[in-house]
Amino acid sequence: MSVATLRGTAVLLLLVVALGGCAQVGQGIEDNPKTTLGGMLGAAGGGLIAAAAGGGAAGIVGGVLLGGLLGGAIGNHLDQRDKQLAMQNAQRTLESARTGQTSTWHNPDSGHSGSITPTKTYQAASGQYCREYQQKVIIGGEPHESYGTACRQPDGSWKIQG
Amino acid sequence: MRRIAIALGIATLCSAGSAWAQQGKPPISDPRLAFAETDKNGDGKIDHAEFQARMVEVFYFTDKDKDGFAVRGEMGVWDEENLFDRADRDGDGKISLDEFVAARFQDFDRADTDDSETLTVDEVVAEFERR
Repeated sequence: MSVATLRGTAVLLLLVVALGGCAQVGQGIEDNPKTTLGGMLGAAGGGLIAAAAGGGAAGIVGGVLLGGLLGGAIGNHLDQRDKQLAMQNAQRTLESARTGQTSTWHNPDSGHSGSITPTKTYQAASGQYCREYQQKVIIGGEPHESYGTACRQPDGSWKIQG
Repeated sequence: MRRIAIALGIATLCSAGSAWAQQGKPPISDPRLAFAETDKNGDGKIDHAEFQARMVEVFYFTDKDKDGFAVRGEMGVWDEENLFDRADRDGDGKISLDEFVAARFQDFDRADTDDSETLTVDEVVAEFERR
């Protein structure tokens, strides 16, 4: 992937996340703009990391999901294994868990854990299936909650929406 | 036929979840549990919004290939009745979400014996037990 393409991808991802608003962690935009800004960067950064690693389109989508879910200050406290476990859990849950069903992940090495619960399923005008979710990450015994919406992509992955 | 349709509509209410998606047919479920799951605001009634939300979820799990439509091979027990044809209003051989929800609301209206535009647990259980 060329630098120009990467840069274009970064701008696009930032725009998408900025317009849509990333999953908020703990507080609203008006309460803590720094945290929300961190979430935006986390989403875009995740996509760029995947793209740079040669992950292709599916990798970028997964990265965006990861960044959107775990962006902001919370993401800084999670290691790569935490994020991998959280992303895998989110993908699996959004695909196959019924609304209200909570799925958890736990990393015994870091001691961090988390969960995600689909809260609503709907079909967008485009025909895409979308699901609203509630996510919780527990760091040092302290729970941090966030909410968001992800939509299913044609390749079966889930991408964070506004 | 009407009774079967209503019963299957109630079965649909009771059947959201991966178990149905995997087995291709509605399992025998506890209608009271299904009612509680569908009655999101816990007011003891299933209104149109709650019913629609539940049906969207059922459709999501019915649509195994996630192409936005349900076809006969995905419909399980529905394939054995003419419910597919009843829901497939445009006759294109597949059921959209709108068609699915519209068909299920016909069942909702039939089960709503007091015409309150809501379903009580008694109405749901009564229809389930008539199966």
